[in-house]
Amino acid sequence: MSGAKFDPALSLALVRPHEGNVDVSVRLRSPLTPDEVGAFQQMGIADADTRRRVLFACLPSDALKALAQHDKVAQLSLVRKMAPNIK
Amino acid sequence: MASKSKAAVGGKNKMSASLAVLLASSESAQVVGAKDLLSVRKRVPNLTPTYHVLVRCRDPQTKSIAGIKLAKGAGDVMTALVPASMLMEFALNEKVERVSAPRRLRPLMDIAGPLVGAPEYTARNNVSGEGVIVGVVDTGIDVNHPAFAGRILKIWDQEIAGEGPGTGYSKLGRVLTGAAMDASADMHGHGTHVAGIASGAVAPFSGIAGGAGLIIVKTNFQNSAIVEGVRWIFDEARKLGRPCVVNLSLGGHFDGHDGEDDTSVAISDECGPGRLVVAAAGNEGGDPIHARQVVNSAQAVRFEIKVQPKRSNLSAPWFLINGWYSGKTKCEVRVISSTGAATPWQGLLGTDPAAKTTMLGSDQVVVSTPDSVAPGGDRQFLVEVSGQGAVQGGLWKVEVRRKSGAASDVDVWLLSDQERYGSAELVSPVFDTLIGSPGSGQKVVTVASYTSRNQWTDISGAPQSVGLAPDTVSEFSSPGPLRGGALKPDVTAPGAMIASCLSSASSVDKSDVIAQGYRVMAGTSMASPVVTGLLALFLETNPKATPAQAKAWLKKNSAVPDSAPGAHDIKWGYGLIKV
Repeated sequence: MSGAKFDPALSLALVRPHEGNVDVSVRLRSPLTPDEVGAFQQMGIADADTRRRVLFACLPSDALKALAQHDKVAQLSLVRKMAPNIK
Repeated sequence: MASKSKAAVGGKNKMSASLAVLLASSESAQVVGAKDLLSVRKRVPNLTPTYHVLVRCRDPQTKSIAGIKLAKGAGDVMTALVPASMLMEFALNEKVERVSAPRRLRPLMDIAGPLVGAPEYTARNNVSGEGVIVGVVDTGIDVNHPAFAGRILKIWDQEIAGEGPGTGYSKLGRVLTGAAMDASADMHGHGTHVAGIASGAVAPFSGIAGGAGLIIVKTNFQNSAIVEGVRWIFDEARKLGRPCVVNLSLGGHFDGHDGEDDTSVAISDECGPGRLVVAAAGNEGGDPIHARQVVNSAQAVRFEIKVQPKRSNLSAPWFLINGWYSGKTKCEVRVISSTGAATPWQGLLGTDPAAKTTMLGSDQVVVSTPDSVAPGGDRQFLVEVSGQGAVQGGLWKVEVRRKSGAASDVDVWLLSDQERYGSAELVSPVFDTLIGSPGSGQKVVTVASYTSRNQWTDISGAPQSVGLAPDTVSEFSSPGPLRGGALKPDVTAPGAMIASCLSSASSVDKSDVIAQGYRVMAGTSMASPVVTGLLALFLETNPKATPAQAKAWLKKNSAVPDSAPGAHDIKWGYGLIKV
């Protein structure tokens, strides 16, 4: 099992000089159990629940590394900007 | 009051039925709200609609009525441009024998609506979207536009300070209701136009489902905020006990184009009975931003990127290659600059952050190759090249070679500065697999664009046109399939040129204004809300419809020209929808 759980965009962001928190999406291997919800909320993911496979968080990079250690976390991805589809 | 009422009836009796409906719509559209608190641009004058009417006078030599000049039309019939506020006075004038709405100059939504069968479906099923929520996550909405009068229930403006609607990440922005909604302005105009297509209610530029309630998210366009917006709209609709369809006329190409990215999965997960999402396919159908090669030996495959000269007007501040291949394969990546300098071959990196930086001349190259498999089962790599001011121009190369594992397709998408379109482009592009997230979502209905009009007359009477072939799928409409072969888009709907609501807070070129308060726009952004509106009509009689049932209904009512029934095409999907 590899230790790499940051998606390439998040890796790119973290090798640049940065400060403050980073917005990420958290992809879970499966929905959280009630006990795990509490643990995730303590890690700063306030809207963790037992239903969703994708959560969002704004965390310092150290906390991202801790979050990535959790077995339920499949991948952490940098939040990205989309745009209107106007021609 | 009694005499006024009686006179009004008499005035309406001189009107054709269609014009009477127009007038009734404009009378019910008077909205008075608080001042726009945040708009930094001056609003354009009040959005009173002006109608182009046919007039028959008792005296055919009449030159003007109530100060409005008449223009000579066919025979004794003349024409006039009459503000809605003066229509009753105009019709009541003793010189007037009959006033009617013109049929000669059909407005564009009058083409789009019938083209998809909306008027017939509405009449046949006695539906208008009433009792259904149309959600729009976009640039906001002009809350004072008459087309939405009394139907905007809530706005979550994610770009103004506040407490947001959620307890967690979604604490950004503020939820507005009632007169407070005036604090939210649509400075871009895209969201207002989109909402008007789905659910505008003032003829002649009516949208599809004019009876629906509207819940709006003015988003900051972060994928997290978009997903939170969809979740919030569905939650509000659930509280109201109403079915809901959300329109997403937005997207991007950061993902793997397989529907397995977080945005597509999160949005698909929110869909269910009475909860539908419609998304635009994208407008990159003709853009050289996708390429594919096969790594089947240790020999490297090469993707070439043509970068405009550093000192040109189109110099590239940066470009980025988003690459994907099979999770059963392990590859190395390197970058060769236009001057021949190269980064070392970089294999998979097992620790976070899995990226290395190399300077090639004055350009910074960051390559990320994490030793992990994305949730969809494939590997992703990213190459980011950024210059000091601009990247060195010329031919850049990204090379990929197989280190171990099976042969695999390597798909790459080029992302570059949208403000400098053309600053970088792939030399050997492939024009497929161009539907990104969230249009790639499995349960999302994804809509391609059909060009129903390429000419129009602007508000000054000048003819305007665009170089799009009419009566076929739009050249710019992004084709599928998804990477891995899943079929997308789902259907095609009119997306060019479409007239709909103009946000009074937005800037607009006069040539795009077709009438006061209305403008033309083009894109799959405009096609998507046509289908959103149709699904609002469908939900009115099928409030528990699932995404699969909605897609089956659309498929049943769509067809690709000159193809067998049920045939799918990478540009058309299951074809032009007509319900």
